[in-house]
Amino acid sequence: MHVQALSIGIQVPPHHFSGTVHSVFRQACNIRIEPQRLLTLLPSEKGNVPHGIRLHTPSQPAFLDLFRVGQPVACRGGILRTDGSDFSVDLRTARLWHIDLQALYVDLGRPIHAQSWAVAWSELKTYHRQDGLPGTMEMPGHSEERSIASATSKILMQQVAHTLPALLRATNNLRLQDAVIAMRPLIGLGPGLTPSGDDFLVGYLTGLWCRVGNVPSRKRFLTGLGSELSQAARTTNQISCAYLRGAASGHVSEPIATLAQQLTQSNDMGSVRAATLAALQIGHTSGSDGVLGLLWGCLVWQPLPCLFSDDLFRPSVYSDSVVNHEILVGACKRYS
Amino acid sequence: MTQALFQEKLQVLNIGLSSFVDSITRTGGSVLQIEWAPPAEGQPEVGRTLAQLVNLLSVETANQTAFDAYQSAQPVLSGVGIAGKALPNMGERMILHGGPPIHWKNMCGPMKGAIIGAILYEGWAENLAEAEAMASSGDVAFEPCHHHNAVGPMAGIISPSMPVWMVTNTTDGNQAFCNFNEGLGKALRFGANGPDVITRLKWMGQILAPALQAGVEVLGGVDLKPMMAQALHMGDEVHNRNAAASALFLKRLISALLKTRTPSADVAAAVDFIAGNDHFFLNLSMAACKAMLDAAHGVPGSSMVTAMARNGVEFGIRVSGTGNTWFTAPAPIVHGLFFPGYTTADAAPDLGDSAITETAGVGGFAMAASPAIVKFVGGTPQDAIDNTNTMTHITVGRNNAFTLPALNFAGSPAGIDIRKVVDTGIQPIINTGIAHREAGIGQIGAGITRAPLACFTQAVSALAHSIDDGQ
Amino acid sequence: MARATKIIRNFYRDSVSLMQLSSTIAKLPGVEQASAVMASINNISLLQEAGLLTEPVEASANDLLIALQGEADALEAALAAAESALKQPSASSTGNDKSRGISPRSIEMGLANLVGANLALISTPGEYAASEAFKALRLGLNVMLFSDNVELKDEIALKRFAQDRDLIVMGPDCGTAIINGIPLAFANVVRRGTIGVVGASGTGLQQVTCLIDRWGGGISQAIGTGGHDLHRDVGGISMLQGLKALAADPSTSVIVLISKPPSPEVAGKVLEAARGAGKAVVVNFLGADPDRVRRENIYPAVTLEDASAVAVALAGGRTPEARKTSVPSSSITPRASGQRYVRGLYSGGTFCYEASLLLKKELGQINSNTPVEPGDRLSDVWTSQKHTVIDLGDDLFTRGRPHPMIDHRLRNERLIKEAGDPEAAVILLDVVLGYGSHPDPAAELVPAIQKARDLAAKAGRHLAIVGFVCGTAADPQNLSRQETALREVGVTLAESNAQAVRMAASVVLEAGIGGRL
Repeated sequence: MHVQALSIGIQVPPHHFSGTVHSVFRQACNIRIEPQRLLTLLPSEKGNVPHGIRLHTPSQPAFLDLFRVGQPVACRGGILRTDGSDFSVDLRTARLWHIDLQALYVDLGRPIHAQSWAVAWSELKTYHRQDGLPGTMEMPGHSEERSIASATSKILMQQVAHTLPALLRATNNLRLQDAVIAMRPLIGLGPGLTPSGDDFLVGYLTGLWCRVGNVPSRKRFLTGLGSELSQAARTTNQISCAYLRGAASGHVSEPIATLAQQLTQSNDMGSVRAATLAALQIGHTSGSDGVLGLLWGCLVWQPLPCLFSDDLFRPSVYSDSVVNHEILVGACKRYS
Repeated sequence: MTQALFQEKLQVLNIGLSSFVDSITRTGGSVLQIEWAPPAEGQPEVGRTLAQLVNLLSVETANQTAFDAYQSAQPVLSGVGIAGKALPNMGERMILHGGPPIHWKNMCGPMKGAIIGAILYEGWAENLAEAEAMASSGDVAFEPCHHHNAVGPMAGIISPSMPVWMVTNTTDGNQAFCNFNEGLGKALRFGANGPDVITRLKWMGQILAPALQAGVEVLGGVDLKPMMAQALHMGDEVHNRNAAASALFLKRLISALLKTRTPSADVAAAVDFIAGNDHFFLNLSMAACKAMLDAAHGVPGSSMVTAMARNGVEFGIRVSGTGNTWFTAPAPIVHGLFFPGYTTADAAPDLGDSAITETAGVGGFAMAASPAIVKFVGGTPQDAIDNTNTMTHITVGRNNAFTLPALNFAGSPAGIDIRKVVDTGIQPIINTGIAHREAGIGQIGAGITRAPLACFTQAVSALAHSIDDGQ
Repeated sequence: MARATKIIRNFYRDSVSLMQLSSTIAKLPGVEQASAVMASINNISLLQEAGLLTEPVEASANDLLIALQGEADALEAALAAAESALKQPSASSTGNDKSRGISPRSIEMGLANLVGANLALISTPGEYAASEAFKALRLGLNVMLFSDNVELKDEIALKRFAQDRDLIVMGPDCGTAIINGIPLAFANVVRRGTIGVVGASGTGLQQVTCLIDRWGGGISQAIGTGGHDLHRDVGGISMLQGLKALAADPSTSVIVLISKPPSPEVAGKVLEAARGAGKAVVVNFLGADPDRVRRENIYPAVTLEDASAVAVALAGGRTPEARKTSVPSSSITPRASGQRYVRGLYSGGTFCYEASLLLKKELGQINSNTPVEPGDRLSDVWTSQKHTVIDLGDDLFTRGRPHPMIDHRLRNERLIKEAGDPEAAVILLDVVLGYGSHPDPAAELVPAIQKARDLAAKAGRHLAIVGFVCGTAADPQNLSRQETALREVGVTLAESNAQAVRMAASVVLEAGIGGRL
């Protein structure tokens, strides 16, 4: 079977690479091209990934039938081939997919941004997964089976409740070492193939990239945090590591990047809502965790005076207070 | 990249001296020996042209477009028509034949016999001598079926008042046509033109065709692709074996026929006629294949073959990206098993439009589906599987609708790529019947033949020209 | 209350499956708590704090960790249930039949069977070779083009095409290369090391790589470019690419370049690139003036032997010294008067050329079928004139028969002929080992040498035979076995061509009959 690639992420080498199949899922196949680097093959109906290749597949491709773990895969002259099968992909026609997060700028001082943020937040509150971080932090949501039994869940909540405020405060104050210390316990933490802590961090960095703007001190901070994260990402699994490293250099997958784009560019709250829901669909809890990270990431370096001063930090309550914050609410009222 | 090469394990394709494999394997490298022979029948110039087309993005993209059109085509039997009215540009005194264009004086025996039979059937002449004189006089125009969106097995004769199957590709709206199958033995398609043959043709036109038209109407059309796919799972390859497909078609048809106003005696005769002919479905299969491939024809730059056909003298192919040009070479002799009393010496060279099935990824290409076929053509069921597998190396893709149980339901290889044929020297395989070289004796055997390489080397040069011109 | 854990190594299932697994096993009778998570350090400590893990587990972040708490006899069944729930159908053989019915007939078919292929080694007849090379490049493969008789315009087109795609074309007429330690075509089995070589000459590359091996060094890469690469119209594309790649290669510390003198503009480009390589570059442009080559990091070498010695010294962190060129003359016995001339019978073209260059300095005019000076061309290549060196690998000799490295008959015949010439004083021979060469050259040469010496002896002469073996201990023919066999029949062996040539010259010079006659 010869198929064309629809789009490729910015981290995919275009013409020449060699590797082996790392892992196969019903709708994805990871290829390890260097000891520390993964590429992901995806069917057309899936969103783009910075290290992903979306295939133009006529019907649902049976990835589990097409690939075996350990099977050699190589790209030569723009054609990706799998060893011993007639499955091949032409990468040359693929569109390069990339959303430049640094070009986006979330300014909650602008009423339209604040309104978009509030809409996304309310969608997250309504539709998040109970067993992801938002659920663990006792945000009310629709009930679901809990994958981590209550005892584990409680411990997870305690850790997160301790870590996240510290991370936000350190970020807000541009204290790199403190931020790194606060970030480390999240890596590889929690349920899921891409553990909740990792998904949160991917979202959080997305938010930070959208807050860098032209401020050199923020850029320095984020570059520093990114490089620490790339190192520390070794302590989670290779699949999750690939996403963390992408986020560290400003590249995240399409649903989360699109949501960031909507937060900054949309005048239509329906689109913001749709983009939030799309992002919430990722994986099992990954979507909820990533959206939470993104929305909190958007809060830093904003002129929200009381936000990071409270020692008795309750993340969920606190975020709600942001929505109700007079700056936001007032701004919305004045300009809408 | 040179530097990238240093980072990778060295993996070598060795083209030429096989002794070079030794040093690589003994020192821990990977190497694969290519069984190389000069491509393009040893013509270096065509070889150079070919080299510039290998992995050329514009060709790959064009092929994907052509293949997608072929793959997404949905051929539906939409009715029965009369050739003179249904076929585009069909002249009043015109007779269509199988294969690429050919002049009367060069035609093979079976084709001449069939044309004389068609003249008699049309009533343009009273007797054989008059008919032959008329055929050679130039008063009758002879054109390939393919020039009129039609196909016909063996001699492939279609004259204006003959009934034809009308097949519509509902995806793109294009139509394809094929004549009716007369059954085995003495038949017009093998050049027989005696009174019994003409009488049967008349019955087919006057009784069978209206009955079938009424039946198809009741059915509201028949989706042919699922029927072919089902037949592949039942041991047909829908070229040289159509036993299952014919039965499936008849099963659908009988109850429909009973719901028409056709006199019951005619229904009985029609059902008897179809039930007595295991090849009845062949002409439907061919029309379906033609409809699918016409959808893929005419994509600039595409190297995908859209027709293979033989007229008993020449074998010809058409390619999607090279318009209506035929690339021809002498028709090969078919190797196979002969009915008792006949030998290769009695055989006509390869004949008919039925290779449209192989062009569409069935027939010889789907041989793995049809272990029974090896009984006709010699060999073992494993040979059938090997033949299908080999064809995957010269095709653009696999037809996901035509799955092959013996290959774990992989799709049948389809969309012959002229570049790959010329590069590998692997010739497309064709399952076919063998006609006696004299008119009217009929089928004398069945076997396997291969499309001549010369057609493909010409086509590669022409495609390269068309691409240069297009730039 | 009991606990149980299960670790499944390098195991990846999507989050939904993991969640379903956790909840399925948590619901089994007798199970109180269950967790299926990726075993990162943070997750292990999480489970420890939650009381699901009491003992340390050995797991990596890429392993799946299932931890259970509940009634002892229920846990085993729960783990078994977990494992079976995680099984997924593995790849069937859909389209996975390795050979798909037939062995590969084209490069494209070959790639389907060896998807990681990164080099096409092409040795088809010349008229087809350029086309095959183009296909390989179009398919994204580097090319080693062993074939000769490829037109110059094709070579230029191929190399430019390759250069645009960051691929390299070694050749046409590239006889040898060693890539990633793998000897290709006519190549020797040499130790791996830090010296990278780019050479326009096959035997030149073989000599340098073998001498480096002999003197304790090792080769990172040996890249052949083919003899025409430094032609003005080709512009040294492959040599420049090779140089650039070696400069960027962290495993290469010293680079050696070998060629006949290129056209001045190409030489300029190559030396400019060498100067910017950031590494020591030893340059042997056979016959070029060393002072025109010398730059800050560029070490000119007059002979292949020099180049090898300098490279080994540099790679070992030593300052290169001039090699002693003393000749063990004691091993060469006296000859009859009238025996005045050197007769070199070479199988390697570059050896022959180097011999001409070196002998010319010592002895004056050297006649040859491939002369340094056009005026010194032999009028009849089948008959030697005065000092003569011939390249038996020249097309004139190989037409319709194998190369003299594979088939020694032609050289043996010539050897006998020279032995019958009363003016011949010394025979100069090269013996090339390695893959591609004759499996036992000494066995072919020894009888002919004996016969030649007998013939001379009968006429009251002593025929000196001087030579060298270009090979390594690891070569299939075995260097020391070959050398021993040749010494046993009285061949005086040098380590290198340059040494052998000097010995041969000294034989005639000592007799006072050499020099510029």
